[in-house]
Amino acid sequence: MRGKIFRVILKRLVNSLFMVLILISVVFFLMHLLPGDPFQQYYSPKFGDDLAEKIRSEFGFDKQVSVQFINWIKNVFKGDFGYSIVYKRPVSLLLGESILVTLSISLTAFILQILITIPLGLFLLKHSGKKIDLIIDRLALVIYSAPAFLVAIVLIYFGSIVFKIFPSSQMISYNFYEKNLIEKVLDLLHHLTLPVLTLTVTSVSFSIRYLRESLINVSNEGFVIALRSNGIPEEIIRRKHILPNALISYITILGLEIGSLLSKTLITETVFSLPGMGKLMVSSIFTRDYPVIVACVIMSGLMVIIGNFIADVLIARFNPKFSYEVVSR
Amino acid sequence: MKKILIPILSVLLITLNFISCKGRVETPVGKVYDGELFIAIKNDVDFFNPLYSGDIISGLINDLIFSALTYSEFDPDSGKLVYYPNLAKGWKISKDNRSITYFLKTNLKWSDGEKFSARDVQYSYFLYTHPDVMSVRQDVERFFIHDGNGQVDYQKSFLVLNDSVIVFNFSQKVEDPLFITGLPILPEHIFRNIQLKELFNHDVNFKPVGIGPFKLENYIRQQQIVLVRNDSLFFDKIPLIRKLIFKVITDYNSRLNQLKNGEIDFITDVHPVDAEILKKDFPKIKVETISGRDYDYIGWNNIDHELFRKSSGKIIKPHPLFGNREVRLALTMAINRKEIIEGYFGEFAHLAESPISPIFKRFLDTSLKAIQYNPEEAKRILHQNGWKDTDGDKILDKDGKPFKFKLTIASGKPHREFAATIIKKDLAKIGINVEIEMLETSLFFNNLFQKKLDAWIAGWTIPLDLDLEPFWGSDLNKNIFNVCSYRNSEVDLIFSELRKEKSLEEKRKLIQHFQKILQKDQPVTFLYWIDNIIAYNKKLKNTKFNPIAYTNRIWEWYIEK
Repeated sequence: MRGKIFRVILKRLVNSLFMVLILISVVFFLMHLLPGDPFQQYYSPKFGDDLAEKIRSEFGFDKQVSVQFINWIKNVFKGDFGYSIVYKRPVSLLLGESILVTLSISLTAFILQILITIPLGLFLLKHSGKKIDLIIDRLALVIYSAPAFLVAIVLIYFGSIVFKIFPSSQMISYNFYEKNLIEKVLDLLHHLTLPVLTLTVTSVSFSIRYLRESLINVSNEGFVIALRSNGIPEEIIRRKHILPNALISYITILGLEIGSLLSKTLITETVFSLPGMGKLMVSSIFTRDYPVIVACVIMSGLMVIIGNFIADVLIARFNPKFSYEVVSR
Repeated sequence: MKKILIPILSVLLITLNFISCKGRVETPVGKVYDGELFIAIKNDVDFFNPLYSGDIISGLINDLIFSALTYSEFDPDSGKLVYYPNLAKGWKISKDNRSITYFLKTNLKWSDGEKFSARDVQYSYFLYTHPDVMSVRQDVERFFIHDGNGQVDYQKSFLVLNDSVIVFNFSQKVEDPLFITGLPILPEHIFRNIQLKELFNHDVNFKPVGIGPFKLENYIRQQQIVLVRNDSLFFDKIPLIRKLIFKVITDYNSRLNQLKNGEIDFITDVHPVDAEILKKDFPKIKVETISGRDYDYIGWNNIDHELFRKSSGKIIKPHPLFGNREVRLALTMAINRKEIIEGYFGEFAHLAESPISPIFKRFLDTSLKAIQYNPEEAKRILHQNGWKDTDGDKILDKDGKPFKFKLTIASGKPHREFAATIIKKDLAKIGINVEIEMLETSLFFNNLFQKKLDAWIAGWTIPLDLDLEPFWGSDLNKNIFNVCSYRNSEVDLIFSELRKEKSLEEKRKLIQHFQKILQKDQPVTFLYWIDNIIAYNKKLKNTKFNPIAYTNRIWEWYIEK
């Protein structure tokens, strides 16, 4: 059994790497097809485009795109993602700094989402068809339909403007480095509450509707009715029989949610001025900072692939009816 | 008695303190909060190095970390730059304006404790002018003495007499030696050890060792730049504010909201409509304007750009719609520019007639009369030039071709979107069909520089030295900023005359004549000069804003308790 799982994981990993390779090739060439010039910032009335051309050649962007691609791939395998045209720093350094921010807010939101969704799902199942169930269901639909930036603005309005509890932007205070460890942690929490809340609220609104639906469906299945007729308490049926079965579809949703969470992080980081990968990617797209865009796409692609991969493995683990061959395909 | 004496003495003290201009700037005793000022900026710094920093925000932050030999201010009364001692305690300009000698302060130290000397000045100018460094300010090299290989002769051009005296020698008489030698100075002991070709990507660009009123305390990319005042007793401009925190907030509404709720003390580029709200509903916020050097215009491509591009710049023919001077004049007459100003800017913009800002009083041609909004006259001129509605579709046509075009603007500029709407409406009245096209900023400028646009709305900031040849000179391959492809030999002659030695009066005449030609030719339709609207918390005192930079004399600002 263990060997089978190992083979599945290995096969999926090889597939995933292949997917990443296709992704980066497509993104690299697409980026170079985009109109716009990252060296335009060096055009000046005094020099015309002379300085821009000089710097373009220094960066190796005067070569053919295919040559640039081969050189770039060679360097990526050496762990070198190149140099940012805009920030003039190694891309790996920029990515390292920003991915920590992105992961810290998205992972926290992801965990919070699970911690909220499951108990809330059980609560809604318990009160299925009642007023509270209807209200939460409709509210979740409204929040899910609203774009993430709108949720962020509403939270800023109440959290920062009306009640003045949380800062509306930045990740840390200006005097962060003068604080001790506990103060630093509190400062981070203070600044990241609203962004994490934005992601959590939008994610919960998305997943709760699936979990609720799944819980209700399972609760109407024959084996549950049989359990009820045997006099097993409803609480035990919900927790030990309905929930584990409903979780299978919820895990699938979680896999998809990783991708959606990343796109929401992109917006959230921009609204809250957080120096994460989302903000880095958005600003790099506007300035046509090719090396950074491609590296960001690789990272986010990898995260989505890994997320889906973990979800598949988990489904296979929890669902005895699931075939490993299907997962490994 | 005591009750009367105390206020009198206080007033006297305050007055005396303000009169004092040397050494630490003093303020009303007991009223100063020795604290922090939060300034919102819309983009991050590109470099902490004046060799490369290109954008406005980076420039003004670098000016707080690095100092020049002098500091300058724009004098609105005379319309010229006025210079004050800074790293230099004095200077002497030769009678023929071919050299300037600086006498440096001898007690200054860099932020790492190293002593400042004339060698730093010499090496800084070596870096600015050396081609391997690729400085964005390399153009300054044209003023200095060159050797046989066309390189700047560093020993002759930047002559160090001793640790505190340096002489700059120019290749010819220059109009303003102080302007040319006014670049920020860099520490030789830091830069000497770095290969010139490696400088552009070097770590030193983000770890500045400076000699200015502030030092960099910490920097988090895309987040914040914290400057702490330079308490060194060796620098005589010790700021009253202890820390400046520049918060990078890209979203305009976030910047505005944070000012309103007190998270931020200072913002710039406030939209006119918000300025009115701030004035009316936020008594703790003060709104001020700086008349500047930024104008918006409607660009008409003067040449057939497709033919130009296809022939690699060899064939130049007039644009089928905008190649005619009279047609361009008619277009300007048909647009109600005042309606745009009143509708969007209110009191915060002024009609533009030429590319010389009204702040350059010495060179502005005040005899130029504004082209009035006159759609009837515009129609008449167009008729005279063959543009008539022959097929009754309410659109003018000539040789079977209708007068219709795309007016392109970069997205995210609400004032230009507003202007475009008025322009479309006004031109429709005289039978011209305009389609508004919005492009993402990077794409817009790409198309603009590649001369792919027929008509567009954009803006320029005019340089302090009024070198306008790059924007209006006829050599289209050299002057890439002449995006409307304007060509006039008389204007070229003016530029070539301006490069020669001229008296102020001669220069004034030439620049005023240039404005007359431009108004006659209407290569573009000049729209308006835009004021920079600044809003800040009223606890901030003693601010004096200057068109050169709003942070000018920031060391004199203080926060009231």
